[in-house]
Amino acid sequence: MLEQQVVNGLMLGSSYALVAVGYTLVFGVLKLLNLAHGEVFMSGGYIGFFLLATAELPVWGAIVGAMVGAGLISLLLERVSFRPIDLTRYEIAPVLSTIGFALVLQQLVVRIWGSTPEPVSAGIAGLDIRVGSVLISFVSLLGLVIALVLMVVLGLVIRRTGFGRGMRAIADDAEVAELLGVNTRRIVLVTFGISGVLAGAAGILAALRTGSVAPNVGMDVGFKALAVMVIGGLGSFEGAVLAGLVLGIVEVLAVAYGSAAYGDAVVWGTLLLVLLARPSGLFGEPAHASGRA
Amino acid sequence: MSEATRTLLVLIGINMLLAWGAYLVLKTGQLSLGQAGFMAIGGYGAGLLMAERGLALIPAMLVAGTIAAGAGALLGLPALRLRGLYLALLTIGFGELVVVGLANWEHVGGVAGYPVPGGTSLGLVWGTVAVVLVFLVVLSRSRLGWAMDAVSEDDVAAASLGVNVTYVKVLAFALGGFVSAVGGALFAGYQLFIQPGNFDFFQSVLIVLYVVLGGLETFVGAAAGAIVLTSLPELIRGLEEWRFFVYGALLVLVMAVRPQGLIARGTLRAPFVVARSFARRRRGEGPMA
Repeated sequence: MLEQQVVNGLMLGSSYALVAVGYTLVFGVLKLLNLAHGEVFMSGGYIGFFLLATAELPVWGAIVGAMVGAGLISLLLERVSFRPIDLTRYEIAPVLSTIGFALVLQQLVVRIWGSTPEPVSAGIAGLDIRVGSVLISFVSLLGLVIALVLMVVLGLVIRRTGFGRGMRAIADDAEVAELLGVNTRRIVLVTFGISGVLAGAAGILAALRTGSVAPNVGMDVGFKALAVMVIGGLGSFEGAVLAGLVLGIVEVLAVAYGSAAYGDAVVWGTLLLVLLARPSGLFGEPAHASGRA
Repeated sequence: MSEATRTLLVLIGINMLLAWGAYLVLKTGQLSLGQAGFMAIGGYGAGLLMAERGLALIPAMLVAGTIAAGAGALLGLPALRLRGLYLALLTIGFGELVVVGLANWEHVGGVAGYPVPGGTSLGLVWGTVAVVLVFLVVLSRSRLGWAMDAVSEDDVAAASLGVNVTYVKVLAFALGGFVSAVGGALFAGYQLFIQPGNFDFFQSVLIVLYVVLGGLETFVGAAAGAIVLTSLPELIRGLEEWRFFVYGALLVLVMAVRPQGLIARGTLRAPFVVARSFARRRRGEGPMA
């Protein structure tokens, strides 16, 4: 029983981790808060749903389509919510603009598909896997594997490639990085693209795992992932992954052995405590967060 | 006056108060995305005081406002070390925690909601608006008001000029909390039934929207935003369905072309400046003459 809950928690947590990593990239590298990120996640779910149900694509097509679509939405977001605003003068305006973008995305989905959940099915049944007492559906396992692969690949990109080096340079000091010849413009765009692609993958995978997608999932998962980013450490990639997986397990256990609402209280209580006591997060380096806020 | 007009005027008044609550915090350059949390403290606080302590709405509203001011000061304290986006995250956390707390509090009905004794009248709402307006006018011409503007521009520079930044920031949160809670109490006294869902993040966003679309720099802008956004859906039929889509698109558009909001400090002076220079030119005293 407990093993099953932990496995379910890992599945849920992989969604949080994927979304939180997107927040972390944008916040950590660019010092920007993107409050539309949860709605990009939701859009991924709906794009996947559209490709499966209306365009009748196979599962892999829907997953790839959702990733590409959400990546494009994220690029559009950068174009309308961040690029037109002088970021050195206005710190609050871009955050508010992303809230506007989130409203637009959410309302578009509500107007097109309505506010009730839509059923999402991969069309693969009877492939459940049993390990001891733990039962895992094929779709859930697929989702977990894809999420883990994406995170490992991203970790390698950040640590091992020239692009990743550029990203870390901008995170450290954008002005100096630019002076030293880092193509800031390109890296900002790619960062938004990657963050959207990950959110899109998380969106369709979560829709497949739960069997449905609804307009309010963006707010729900988006906010929890935001808390995950803070708890894991603003700008810390590993922290976001770890805190996301832990939150997934905690939430599933809270629902199984207590009340779902207490799970939420734990999330927000931890967020407040972390911000007050250790703003750099549980896994972040203190020097990183205290510098610019 | 028709019932519909009366309702609209009450809602406009309440939303103006809520907008001013957020404006007071923004005046020091701090973004609060948890103002609905203070509104909830006002609504539930006043409701409990009326139902269980037998208070009338006005004293209940003032007591709940004071409690919210205390909560605001507590939330403002971390502002000493958290700035900008970190502070915005903290206020989101505060707002969500209030909603989750209320949803779990069986005594006030949990998620289902809580019935509140009434008492909100059109006169009370606009009387309160008038009082807060006078306060804002006085504030904008006082040393404290200037200190708040200075902190908003550059808090390090303000501190070097002798402004007590800590005091100003914490006070801004306390004042904003008080005004938002008063708005929340009037809201509860008008609705007669409140739920945690009335005070969620979406409500906080709506409140900030009033201020931001109108203008972040003046209380006139905040009030104008509340008036226009509250009456627009009533005046234009058919907009109701697309209301939030339009709000979202407007927000993106306004931030892109005018990040300080539609009505800024200079905007209010501009007509006077133009009129004065015209008058001067007519008298032949202008720089051109």
